[in-house]
Amino acid sequence: MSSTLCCSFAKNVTLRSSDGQTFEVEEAAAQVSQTIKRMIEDGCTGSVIPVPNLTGPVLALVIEYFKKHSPPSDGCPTALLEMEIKDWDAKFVAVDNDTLLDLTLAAHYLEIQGLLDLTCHRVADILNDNSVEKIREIFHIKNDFTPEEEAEERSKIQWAFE
Amino acid sequence: MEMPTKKQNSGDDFGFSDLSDEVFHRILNFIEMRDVARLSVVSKRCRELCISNPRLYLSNISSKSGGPRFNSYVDRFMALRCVHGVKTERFVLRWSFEGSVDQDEEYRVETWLQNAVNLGGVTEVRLKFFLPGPQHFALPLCVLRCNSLTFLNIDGGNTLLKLPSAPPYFATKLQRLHLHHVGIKNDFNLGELLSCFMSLKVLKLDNICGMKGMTITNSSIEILSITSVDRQLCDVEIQQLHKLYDLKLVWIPKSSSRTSLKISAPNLQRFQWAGITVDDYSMRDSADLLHAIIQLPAHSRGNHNLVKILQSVQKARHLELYDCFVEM
Repeated sequence: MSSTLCCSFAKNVTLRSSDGQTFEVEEAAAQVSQTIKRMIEDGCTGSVIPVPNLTGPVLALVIEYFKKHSPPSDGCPTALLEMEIKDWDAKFVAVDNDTLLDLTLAAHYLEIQGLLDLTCHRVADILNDNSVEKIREIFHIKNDFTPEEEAEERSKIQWAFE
Repeated sequence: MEMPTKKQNSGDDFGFSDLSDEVFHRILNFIEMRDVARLSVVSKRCRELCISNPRLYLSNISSKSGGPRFNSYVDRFMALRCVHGVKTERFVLRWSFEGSVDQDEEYRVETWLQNAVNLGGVTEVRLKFFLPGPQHFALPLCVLRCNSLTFLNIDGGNTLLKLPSAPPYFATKLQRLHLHHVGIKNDFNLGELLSCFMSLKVLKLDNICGMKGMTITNSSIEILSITSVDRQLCDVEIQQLHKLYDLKLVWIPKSSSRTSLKISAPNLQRFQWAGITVDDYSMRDSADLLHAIIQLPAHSRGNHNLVKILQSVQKARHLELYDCFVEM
């Protein structure tokens, strides 16, 4: 899949992940990413576009997002379509926490505004819903406070734990 | 592709540490102050990033926040930001003074606002207050003097907004000003204050109470909306707004007073006027008028002006008339 297919109705581009997997996607869909859009505008379409920060499985997910969010070919999006996309988005980020962080990083690197808001909101929901200990566990955060420091920090915000 | 290289996902060491400060701050946008406080106990980096967020959202509206201990926390939080020189780009405050136990709460809120603005770099300030509020809220002078501010939105919940009288050096980059549900003293010269904002493009005045007359002279304004149910407002004058292309007026003045509307906006493209007619009406030629919507009841006084009003919008390519001209 290393060569680019040239169709009269839909131009495709090929993206390559950090582990060498390639994916073909419509150019219009890939331009949901501002980073890729700039590369296409700079004339990278003839060759394979490397995406060195994303592994194959993550890039595959991002491409699913591209396809769902590519501008509709037949004009304006309808309210019904927007609702359907919103539902789809909610399901799309209902993934395990490591994948969620991978998607957040990918959205940031590839400058996909909609996906970045979506993933950040999901991460925020998890942070809102869990205890300090649970947050450390979920997101692999090392507690670098000494027990004394932590006790002091906690005593300042006792109200937030009630 | 120029991108920072990511650590390989190798289990336990992957996680939050891979997120840039910018992404972390974006996540914080969806988190309330109480949960931000809890998050700052998770690790030192979390605490630092909670303090350094350039977008500040303070609210005591939800059940999760509020009370004297919450206020003290915000005091400390704001002080820490000052110590670390954290610049606030966007300051959003949604504050209810209802059930306030704190006598100095209004002063406190003003201080936070001053702290945020005085470090510089603020581009957006949104304030929303809920009743029963203080009888008045004094907008700190530093907000109107802030030379980085581009958007100011105040929803006053019908409080009286005390505005500083016009000294020089006002917010010269302010492009959008929205005022909702605020009272302004009749003797305050709003027009003079507004004329200091040299870059103002969008002005929305929604339910401004207490003023009898309003004169707007900012030649930079492109979009102007005055919507008011306050019946005290009797005179509206729009002077020489050369760039104005969209004007919306929704206005029902008191029936016992003499009322006037004067418009001079040569490049007006869209004009919408709803309410009742006025005693004195004048509109200078607007040759580019594309769309006019007039919604004035026929039985109101000042009917003799209907012909004048109709003439003033006769060049509009799209004209929508409601109520008023049915009887003519």
